[in-house]
Amino acid sequence: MIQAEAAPGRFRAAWAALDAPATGRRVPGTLIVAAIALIAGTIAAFWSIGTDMQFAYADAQSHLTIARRIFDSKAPGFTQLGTVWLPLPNLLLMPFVAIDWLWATGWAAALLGIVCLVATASASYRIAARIGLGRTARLVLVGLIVTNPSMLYVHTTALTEPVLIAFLTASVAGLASWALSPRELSAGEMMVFSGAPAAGAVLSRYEGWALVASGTLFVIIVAWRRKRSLKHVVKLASAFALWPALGVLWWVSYNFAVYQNPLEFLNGPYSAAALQAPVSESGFLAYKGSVGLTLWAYHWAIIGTVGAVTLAVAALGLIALCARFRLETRALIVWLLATGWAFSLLSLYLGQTHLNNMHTMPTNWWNNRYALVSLTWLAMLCAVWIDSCLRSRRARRLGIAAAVATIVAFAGQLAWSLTDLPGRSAVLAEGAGYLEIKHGNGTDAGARYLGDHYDGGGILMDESAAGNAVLPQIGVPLHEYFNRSTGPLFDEALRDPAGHARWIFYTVADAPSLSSAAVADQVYATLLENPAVLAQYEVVFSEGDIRILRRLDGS
Amino acid sequence: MLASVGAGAAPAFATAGPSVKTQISPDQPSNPADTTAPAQAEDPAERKSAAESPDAAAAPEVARSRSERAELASGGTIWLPFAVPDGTTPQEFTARLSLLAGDDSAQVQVSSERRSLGTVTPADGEITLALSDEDVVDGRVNISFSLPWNTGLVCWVASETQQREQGTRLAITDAAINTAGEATPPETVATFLSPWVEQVEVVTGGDPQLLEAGLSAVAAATHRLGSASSVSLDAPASDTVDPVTQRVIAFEAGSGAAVTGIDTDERGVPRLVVSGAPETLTAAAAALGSAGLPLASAADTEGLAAAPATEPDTALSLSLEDLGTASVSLRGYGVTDGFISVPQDAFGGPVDGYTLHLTGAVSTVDAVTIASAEVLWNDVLVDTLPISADDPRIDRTITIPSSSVRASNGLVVRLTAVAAGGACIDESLLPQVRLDLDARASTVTAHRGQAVSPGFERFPQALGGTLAVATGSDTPSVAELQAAGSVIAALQRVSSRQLDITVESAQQLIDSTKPGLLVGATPDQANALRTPLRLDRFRTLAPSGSTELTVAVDRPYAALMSFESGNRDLLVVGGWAPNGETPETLLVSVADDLAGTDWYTLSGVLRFQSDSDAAPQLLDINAVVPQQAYREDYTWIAWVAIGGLALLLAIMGIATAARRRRAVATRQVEAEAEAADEAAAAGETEPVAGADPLPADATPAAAASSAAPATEAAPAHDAAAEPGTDAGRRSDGS
Repeated sequence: MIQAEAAPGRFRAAWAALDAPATGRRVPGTLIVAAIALIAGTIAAFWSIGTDMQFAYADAQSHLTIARRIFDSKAPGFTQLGTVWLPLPNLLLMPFVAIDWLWATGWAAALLGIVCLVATASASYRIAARIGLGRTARLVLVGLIVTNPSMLYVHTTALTEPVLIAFLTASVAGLASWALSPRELSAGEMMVFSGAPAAGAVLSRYEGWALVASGTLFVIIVAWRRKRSLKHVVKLASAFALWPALGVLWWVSYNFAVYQNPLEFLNGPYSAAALQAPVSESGFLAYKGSVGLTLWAYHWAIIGTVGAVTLAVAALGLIALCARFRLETRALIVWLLATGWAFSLLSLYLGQTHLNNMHTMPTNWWNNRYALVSLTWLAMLCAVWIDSCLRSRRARRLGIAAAVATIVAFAGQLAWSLTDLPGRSAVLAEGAGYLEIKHGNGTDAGARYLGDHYDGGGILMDESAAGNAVLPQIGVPLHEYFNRSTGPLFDEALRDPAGHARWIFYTVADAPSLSSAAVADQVYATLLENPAVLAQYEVVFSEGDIRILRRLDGS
Repeated sequence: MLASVGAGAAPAFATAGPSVKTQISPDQPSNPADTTAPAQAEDPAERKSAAESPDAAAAPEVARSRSERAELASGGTIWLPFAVPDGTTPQEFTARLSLLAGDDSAQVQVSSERRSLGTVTPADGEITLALSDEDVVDGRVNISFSLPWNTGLVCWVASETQQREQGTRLAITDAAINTAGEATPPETVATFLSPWVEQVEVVTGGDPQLLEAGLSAVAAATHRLGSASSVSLDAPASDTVDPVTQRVIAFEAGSGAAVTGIDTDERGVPRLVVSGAPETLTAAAAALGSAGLPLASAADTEGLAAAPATEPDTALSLSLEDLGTASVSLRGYGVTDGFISVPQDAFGGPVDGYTLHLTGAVSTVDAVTIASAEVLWNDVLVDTLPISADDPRIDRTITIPSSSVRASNGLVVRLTAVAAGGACIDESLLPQVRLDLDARASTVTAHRGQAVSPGFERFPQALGGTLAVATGSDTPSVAELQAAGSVIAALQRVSSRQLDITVESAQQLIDSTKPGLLVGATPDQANALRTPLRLDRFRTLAPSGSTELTVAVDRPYAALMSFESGNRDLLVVGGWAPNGETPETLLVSVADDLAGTDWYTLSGVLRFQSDSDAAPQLLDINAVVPQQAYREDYTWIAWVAIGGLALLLAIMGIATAARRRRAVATRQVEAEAEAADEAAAAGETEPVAGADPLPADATPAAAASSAAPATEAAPAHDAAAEPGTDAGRRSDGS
């Protein structure tokens, strides 16, 4: 009886907490939101892994591979982090991928993704609470994040967006806490609650670097408003930027130490710029230098990932934000969440990012997940809109009606998305397309064959070649491979395959148009140059573009 | 072109003509060879157009000769129909047999409907068999090829490869009949477009006011003669002359009602002359494809006309019979397929999903047989039909999602029956297995919507039976007329109904919301329509193997484009040359090549030919570097963004000003209240005249705030009422 009475009581308390204001560091309701995100993330993970979608993106498998080869490789070590991607997402994956089953099934990434989703949802909720949004608005905010199919799916993969978004949102939440706290927070607290997450973002994706700039500007403005003291401003801005700066410094030092070029990540042969140069030079980045096309391409990506209703309501929320909060600190906090959106637009305009969808030329799905970094901002704007509707005093009924209509529209958008996930989500459409290609060109079957039949003796494989990023799918420990990441060992194995590897896995597919030599299969190229090698092997698998050879001597 | 083999069914060509219906024979014997029948083309569109046997697919068009290839496998039968012109007698049938696999001495039985013509083998190569009047039925000779099993055993091998190795497969090509005697020239309008006519030249003399009539005649003649015909508009006269298979339809502008007359042109080719007021000629031209044309039983007629249907035929639910399948009756061992073509166009518009309702019955299966029945949609298994001794009825509803919908779809009902144990068993020892569907009660219901991406695959269903045509200029060149005729003929060949053609100006079409065809588009018109390829020089990905990533296309070219403009689909034919002139030869070529192309094989959005190309080719639009004109289309978005930014700044400015006004008012109220308090303290009891104790929209919190002693400028009530405001924080002294 007591328990029966306690349950409604707990529910009422939880319900009340979701509307309670923040008090100091405590934001009531955070745990509830975390639990909601945990459930949503877990459901998404089961769906994704159950449908093999967790491995759809080649980059996702590459991240799992990089994280594991740091300790499981013929040439282990932190240099395996490479320079193509910033290191933190891979480092965070390490404890998860250490367990073979988690690595080979993709659950390693999903577990990290769930943690990130919980962090993102919780941080967003805390920001909403701190800027004074009510319960309905907060729940709408959280709902838009944890029910977004694209967002949920990405969080089941090893792509880097989940880590970035989590750190980015956490850093803004820390800044919101500092900026709106009645109590004067110390520089140390700033470093811990804002600077450290910003450093995490910095070491996750380059959008994080933009956050350091916008966050520092935010700190300067708010600190100046508070004390109008240059010393105070410098102290707090430094406190915020110190950890991110150290992160950048570490990354530059790492590049210098490993590649003898501190800007290897920027201009090296495996840098994004180098990989993208042929596309850019050929003129296929139509949005490069075009404001209109940049906005067009990116916002269609937003519609394809975040949703058209969300984007439209966010536009209303932006108007509400400007009218209600003007340039108050609360408004600046919301604007701070727009850092990823602004950075993405700038990257597109400058031709640093490659993004295509059904409304661009070329017309295909490519990198629309970049739009997900805008989700927390857009969801926050939607929450501002809802809150403004419900707080309207002059037209209270109209405001309530508008809020209800908006929520119904969100529900409709979600239901519409769920009826055909790959057809309604650009991120899932791209993933489904990759899956179809891998089914069709023999990659899936080849990976399965090698995983089932591998009996030791080493594998020669160029995992960096387009379509070959399937090492987690194969599931064979990485120290069995001679691949690019093993450096000189790979070169030696290419010179004498039979002397090194019992198995050879390669693709005969042409490297995709507009790609650099970095993604051509070097094993296949070697076999073409030296076909005598084939005499020592038999073809044990041949389907589509994939060939698997096994050494004839049986040893 | 592939052809299906099947059982030796009686030919079912009763509806042969402009819209030959798919037939599945009710009397087909067991057909183990169907397990290997090569006739089942992978592409449903290919299947539809294939010359397939009655048990498996659409019957081929009637003709005097056939250049397409048909394939036959052991245990199968294939039927080839040939038209016999009036006044002639069939003399001989010729064809070429070539062995694809198996035994080159396999005996192929060749028959007409009335008698056996003989037995041939693949080793014979070219064959000639005598024909006579006896073989003619309803003006046609239907010739069947049967290749029986040698052993009399029914075998089932799971591997298709192994099964194929067991049987014989052969190809039949260059099949034709030779006739003797002089064909009777057409004497009436009704018989002018006889089934044996293969080529029609429509002539308007380039008169723009006759364009609509000419294009309508192209659609009508193509509709009447079927996909094997060649119909052109204002094309140069053919070098080869055959009065039996060629016709000319000439339009002459005059006055009054349309009148017709039949004569021959200077080459001796029969010519139908249609003259009258231009506005009457379109209806007269459309009448040439009308089902009521047999009523025109004279050469000279007046007032020939066929009005378009007042209501377009857009039925969303069609029975299998409506779709051209008189019956579905599958029987025998091995795999037996029944194929039903389901083009979106048959439903009068685009479709984004289907619901299949299949009703029928299946025979009882005993212990010596293992049988299953499956339903495939576009070669993908979508359902299995129960085969149960308890309930012979089939009553299934199957949903086809949007992702499985193509422009032309193939529904296959497959019966698989094997002898238990998998051994080869004498056919006579096995009981019959049979599955029948009720072709009238089984339906395909379409759900209106759009399932395919913009491009050629959106046609012809996007048209809904009507096509608006425009030319780039008001005085179209002959090349533009020819190109328009070629595109319309190609569309009509795959349309379920005769297209209703209307001619508009280019600007009307650009401003319209209807689907349509623009021929001879200018660069400005292409820009206005936002065509995928603007009519200008461009760069494209170099062919594979080139060291250059992209190459410039700055030679004359022509392109046929299919794309979405607004919410409608358009076809545009246009060309470009460095000197600014339209490359007319290329314009004709890029469209004329459609005569030998099945529309459903077109993919993407761009068919392209430069003056260095021997023939048009499909060009991946994603291989084209975005052109400057394309980039300029989106400049307006930048201005919208700037406007949006200005709007936000204005909103912030207005909100800030309003807040200041409220703050001033609040301070004034507080000051007055303070003055009143002081006055009260001084013993005065009257309130300050004119003072408003609270702003109209003040909240209790703000009221409380205003009532409290003010030590500094109070925050606006809306800010003070909410947690986390700057105002609230400042009140803490921060």
